[in-house]
Amino acid sequence: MKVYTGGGDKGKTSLFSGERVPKHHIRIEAYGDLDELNSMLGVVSALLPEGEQAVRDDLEGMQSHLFLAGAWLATTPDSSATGYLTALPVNVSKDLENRIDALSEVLPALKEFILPGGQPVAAWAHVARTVCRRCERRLTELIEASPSGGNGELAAIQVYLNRLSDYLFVLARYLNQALGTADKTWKK
Amino acid sequence: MRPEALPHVTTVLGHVRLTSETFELICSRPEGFQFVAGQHVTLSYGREEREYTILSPPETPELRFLIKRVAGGSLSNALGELAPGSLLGISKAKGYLIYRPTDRPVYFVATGVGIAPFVAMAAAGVTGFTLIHGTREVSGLLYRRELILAANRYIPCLSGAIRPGTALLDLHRGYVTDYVDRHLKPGLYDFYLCGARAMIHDMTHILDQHYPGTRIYSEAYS
Repeated sequence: MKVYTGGGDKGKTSLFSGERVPKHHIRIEAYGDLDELNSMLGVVSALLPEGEQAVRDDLEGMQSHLFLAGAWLATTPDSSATGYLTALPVNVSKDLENRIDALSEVLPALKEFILPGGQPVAAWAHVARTVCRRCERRLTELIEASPSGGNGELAAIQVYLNRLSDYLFVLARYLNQALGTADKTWKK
Repeated sequence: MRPEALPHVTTVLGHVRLTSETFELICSRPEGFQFVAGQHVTLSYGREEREYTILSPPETPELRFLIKRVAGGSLSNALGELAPGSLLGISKAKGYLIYRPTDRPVYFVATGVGIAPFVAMAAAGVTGFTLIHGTREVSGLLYRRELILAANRYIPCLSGAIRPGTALLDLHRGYVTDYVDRHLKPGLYDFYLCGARAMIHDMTHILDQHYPGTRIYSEAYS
């Protein structure tokens, strides 16, 4: 199998459901942002300090979930191609909540806004969080633009992204603390 | 990826010679191995590995692969010589060149051994399509009989010299892209493309330019 065919050289690409669309199509923008987020998770994972294998495993699982989500975003709802797609695991958002709770247990309560930054790995987690928020914005736009208003799976992905951005915020704080860097609060 | 990283092992059961250049490799189906007609796998032997489309339909107990012997290709030639009982590494099934039911006219377009996914789809029960198969010579029109039975229309496109007296229904002399460019009426279609990169490149641009709204699914071979 060849990675390249040149079929997109004139600015169009195929959705998973086969339609040819311009590369700036809202659907392409949406799953392109997911791809960017997935890459950001890869950066965070690559920068994790030793002893954080559990976090690394979690991030890897999330990267796989984003692949599943990307396929849904690349497919026109109600097309026959949706029959080949895999839904996110049933409890995937609940699992994220559990991860957030577990990481939060060791963190001081948050009473003020904090500045994104600190240790490089934590700073990247903040960047990933902001990309995740952009993914959410694209998705809501996509759902609104869909004639059928999206479908059940897009709604599930929306919930997942919302939890994931929360997770990344908590992860950034957790990593700063694990590396001995205190939160820097916003001073007006 | 290292060959030993492939998750399954399959046993060579035998070969079927098709032409001087091509053969079918018949292998056991690993326990729990699932796939959809049109998907491919990575096969590995020794330190060599390469992707091959599964030729057989999903309900069969064995796996068949259409393999072209590549000049200087160590894996394709090795696979052609393996004794029954030899072991190969095999990946999970992958790829998205799979049939999506539609109410539009469906065109399958292949060059050479890119015919494999369409053979698998036809064997799995897909019918009613138009198949355009481009090869250099008549001998390259593999699985012609089976595909004629499943297709609404079968169009062989031969780009090389042909023997005088060769009679093929709907024969087109030239490339598959020429055929589509000259003969396809305006409309909305579902196109499935498999084969040489240049064909997919050119066909995609023809369809984008002259048949806007047509859906395209493609996979390129080397």
